[in-house]
Amino acid sequence: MEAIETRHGGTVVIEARGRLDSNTARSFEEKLLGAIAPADPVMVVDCSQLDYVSSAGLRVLLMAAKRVKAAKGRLALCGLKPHVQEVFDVSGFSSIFVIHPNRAAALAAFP
Amino acid sequence: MTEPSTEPPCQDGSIPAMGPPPLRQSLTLECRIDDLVRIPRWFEEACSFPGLPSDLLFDLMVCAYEAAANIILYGYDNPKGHAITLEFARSDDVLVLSIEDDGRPFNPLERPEPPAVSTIADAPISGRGILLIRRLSDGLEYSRAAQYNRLVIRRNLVPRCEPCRKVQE
Repeated sequence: MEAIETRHGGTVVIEARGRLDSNTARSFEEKLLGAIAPADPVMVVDCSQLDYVSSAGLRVLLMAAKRVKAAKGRLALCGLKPHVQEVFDVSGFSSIFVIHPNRAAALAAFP
Repeated sequence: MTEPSTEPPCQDGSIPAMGPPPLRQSLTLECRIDDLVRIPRWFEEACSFPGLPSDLLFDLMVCAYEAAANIILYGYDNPKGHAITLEFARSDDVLVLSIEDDGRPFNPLERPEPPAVSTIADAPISGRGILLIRRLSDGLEYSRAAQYNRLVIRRNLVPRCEPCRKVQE
C-alpha cells in the first residue's frame, strides 16, 4: 500500500492507498505515527483510495488517534469506501472516529 | 435441492435466487503473514458464483483473513513449516468456511466479547479480529481433534438489515 503525505495549511493529510492489513500495517504505522506533530497535531486520513482495512489496520488508526488526542490535537478520517465503512461499522469504530464524506469536507471542518 | 429458507432473520430481508450447483473449494496457506494476500484473491477467483451478493462473500473473506492472521500470529512459537487449510462450500442457503490448523488449541468462541466503547481514549488497541468474525458471520463452531483446530464459519445467503450488522450501542 502507499501512504502519501501532503499539507493543507496547518493540516497534515495522509492519503492511504491499497490494502491496510497484516502485511502493510507496520509500514503504514511508521508513516502515520511519524507524521503526527508533537503538539496540537491536526490530521486527516484520506481513505478514498483505501480498498480494505483489517483489524491490524484498525489498530494502527486507533493508535494514531490516541497519540493525536494525547497531544491535544484533532484527527479525522474521510472518504471511506463501502467495504471499509462496513468494517468500521461492525467494529464500532464509526462511533468513535470523526468521519467526513470526502477530503474537502474534512479540511473545511479544520479551519 | 431444498427450498431456501422462507424466514429471513430481518423483516426487510430477501432471498437471492440461487441457480448454480453446490460449490466446494479449498486453499492451503503457508503460515506466513505475506501468504495472507492469497485469501482475497481466492475468494474472488474461486469462491464467487453468479447470483452471489458480493457483500456476503466479502464478509466471509474478512472472517477468513482475520482467523488466519490470528493463527499465524498466535498459534505457534514458530509458524514456519506449518499450514492453514481453508475450505469453502456453498449450499442452497448458506456459505460455509472451514479453517484448520495444527497450532496450539484456541477456541475463539471462548474469548469474551470486548466492551462497547464510546471514546478513543476508552478503546482497547487490540482484539478486533475476533469481533469482526463474530459480527460478520451467522454461526461459528469450534472443535479440536487430532491436534487440529477447526473453526467453521457460516454466512446465510440472506441479507441482514443494517442495524443487525452494527455494534449495538
